[in-house]
Amino acid sequence: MRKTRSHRRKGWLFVFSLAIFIFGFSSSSLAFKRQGTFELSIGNYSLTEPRFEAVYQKGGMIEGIALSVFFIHDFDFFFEMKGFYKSGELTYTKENTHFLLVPVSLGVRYSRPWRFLCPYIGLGIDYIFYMETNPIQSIVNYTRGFHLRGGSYIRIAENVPIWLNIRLKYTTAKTEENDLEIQLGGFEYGAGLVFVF
Amino acid sequence: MEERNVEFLEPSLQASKMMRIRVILLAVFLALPFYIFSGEAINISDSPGWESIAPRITVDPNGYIHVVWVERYSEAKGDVFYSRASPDGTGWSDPLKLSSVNTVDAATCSIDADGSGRLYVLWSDSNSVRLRIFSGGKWNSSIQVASGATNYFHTKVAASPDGDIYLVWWTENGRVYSRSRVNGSWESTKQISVSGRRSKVPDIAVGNNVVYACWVEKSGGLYRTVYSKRNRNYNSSWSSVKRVINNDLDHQNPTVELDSNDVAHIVWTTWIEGPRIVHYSYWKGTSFSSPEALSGKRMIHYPSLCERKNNLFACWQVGSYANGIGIYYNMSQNGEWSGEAAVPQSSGSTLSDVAASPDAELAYFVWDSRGEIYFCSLQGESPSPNIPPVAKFSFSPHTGLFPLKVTFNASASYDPDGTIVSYNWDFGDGGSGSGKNIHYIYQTWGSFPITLSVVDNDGAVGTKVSSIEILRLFQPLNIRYESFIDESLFFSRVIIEIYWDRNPKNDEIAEIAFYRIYKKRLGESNAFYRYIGEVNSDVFNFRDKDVEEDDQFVYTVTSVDNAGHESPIVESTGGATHNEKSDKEILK
Repeated sequence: MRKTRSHRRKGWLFVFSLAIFIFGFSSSSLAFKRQGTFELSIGNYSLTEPRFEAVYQKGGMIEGIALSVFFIHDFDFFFEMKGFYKSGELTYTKENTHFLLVPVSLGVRYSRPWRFLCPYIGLGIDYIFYMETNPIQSIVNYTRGFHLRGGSYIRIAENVPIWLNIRLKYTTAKTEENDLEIQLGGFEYGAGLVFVF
Repeated sequence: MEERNVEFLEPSLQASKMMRIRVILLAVFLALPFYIFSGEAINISDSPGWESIAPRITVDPNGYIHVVWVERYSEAKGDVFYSRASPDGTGWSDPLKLSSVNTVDAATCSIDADGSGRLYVLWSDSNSVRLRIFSGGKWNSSIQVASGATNYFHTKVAASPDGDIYLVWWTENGRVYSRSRVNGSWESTKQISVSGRRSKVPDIAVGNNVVYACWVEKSGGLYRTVYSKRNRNYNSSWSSVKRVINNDLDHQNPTVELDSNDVAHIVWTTWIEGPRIVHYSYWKGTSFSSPEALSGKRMIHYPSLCERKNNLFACWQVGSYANGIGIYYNMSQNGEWSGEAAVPQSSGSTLSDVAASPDAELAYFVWDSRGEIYFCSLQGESPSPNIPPVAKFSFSPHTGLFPLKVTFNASASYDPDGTIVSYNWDFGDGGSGSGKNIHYIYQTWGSFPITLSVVDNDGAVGTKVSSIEILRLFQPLNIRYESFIDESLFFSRVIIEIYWDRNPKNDEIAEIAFYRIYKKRLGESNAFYRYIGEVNSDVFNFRDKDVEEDDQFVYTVTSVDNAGHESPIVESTGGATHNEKSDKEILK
């Protein structure tokens, strides 16, 4: 456990340093004037729960949509909903088991344009809906968590309302089932196609 | 007295020899229980202070039973007593003293009845022979019929249906005499034995037309049974004395009876190197028949004989004087002797007599024992013993795997002299049934004795025992089990793997089609094993997923063939439960 916390602390330091670097070198935010964005995203999600890896192997692809609305002076709200599906095998009988995770996130971001980039950093809360079906038992439930995120929009060309987004996100969300405490959070990285309006 | 001692007293056998004889006689008695005695022996003398000996019995035409005997007050003093009973052997009258001479000795009284119910009692004292007649409802005064000699013995009386009486006795000088009263007229006393040949222990019988007397006559150092006869007419002459049978054996105590055809029947004892045999012979028209043994070969005394409706009843004492093992008897109907058997409770006896009811369905025995006179009756309507039925059966199949339905067939059973009324089966596994043909299902394996008992219409039982081998399939070998943890992201469960090996013993019995798996909770009996699944015969493991965290189960596996036969559901050779050290928990 001590080793895991040390890793997490280093991760936060890395994200914070990257944010200062991005905002420190940004000169103008005018080139990224916008009212809001709609994004189709794809990425990879890795749960930090060791039981998950024993049953479903490594993490998998996560897909979803995101919507952001400009709020005030480089701050915007965002709403995000994704889906993560994985099939695996029970640990002894190797019978099939299926897992579906649907995180719904609400949060706020701060962004500062710099040249063709617009880095951002944000945080938010999550409602994570999950479902597992297998011969042992099936379950549908949800839990709450929170996350930190960072990334950057990349402007493809002047006056083109379509950007790219690269991002990094860390979520923590614990739930308890059958006297077992399960961590549904994890690291996510990915990219998105952003429509600016 | 010397003669009397020879005749009535026997040297004691050694105790060991006596014991052997008693055992043999007991076995004979148990093997021949052909007749049914009515109740216990009745003490009819009831004279504790005196010694009651030498009883004689007769039955009148109405069936009443009459007995006389001697009450001996001392060694040389005694009197004749009388008692009577109803035809069923009950209601014995108080003993009535018929003589009053005080000198009647043992073995000297006799009694007979004529066709009118008159009774004739004959006895002797030391110097005379006396007769007393019951007629007209009262006892007349005694009549002296002989006197002048010294010591009269074996006074016997025979009465014809019409009241003629014929008497016989012997005297100490070895001569046999007879005197008769025919048509109310007394004949003179006649010596009927041969002078110069010592003769003794006579008996006499009267038929329709003839009178027979028999006794033993000494010749060449041996006593042999001889006879003489006459017709019933007044003063008829006695025939010359002839031997009943010509052999070089010593005879004693002959007794004679005549049947309705005037055929004489004689029994006597033959001395054969110590023990004796009761022999029987009858008049064939020109001579007597070859002797037929009525008894085994042992110490035997004083046979008696009674004829009624052409049935013969013989009895005798077995054992030493005054301490007999018992009274034995043999009965003949239609010329067939039933076999030797014992009169119950007759130990300690010496002298006995036998009579029969007018219809010959009851035999009456009297004997003396330990100073008293005893009586018992015997239902002997059918002298032929019931032959037990013979039990026979077959069954099919002779072997097979359990549960096995077996058909039993007892049609081959039979009863030689009747019918079989019931068939009872014991199948050896705790099951039973009845019926000539029956099906039975063996629910377990093993070797079982099958017992068929058949009962005939007389209640006799015949049995036959056979056995059947019920086979079983064998449990697979090395049944073992191990627990594992099976997990998903959110849940876990216990999985128990059961393993076993093929049992080659089943190859000789049947082809195994599949295996069935059973489980029970730890500590439960085998009856709680419950089926949880089955696998084909080429699979040797089974996975039990229906296990809770705290469950502790015991597993077993059975072999099943194509016909559904299954090896017994019994405890396996053991295995671990999931709470034991063999647990393999993948995730923790």
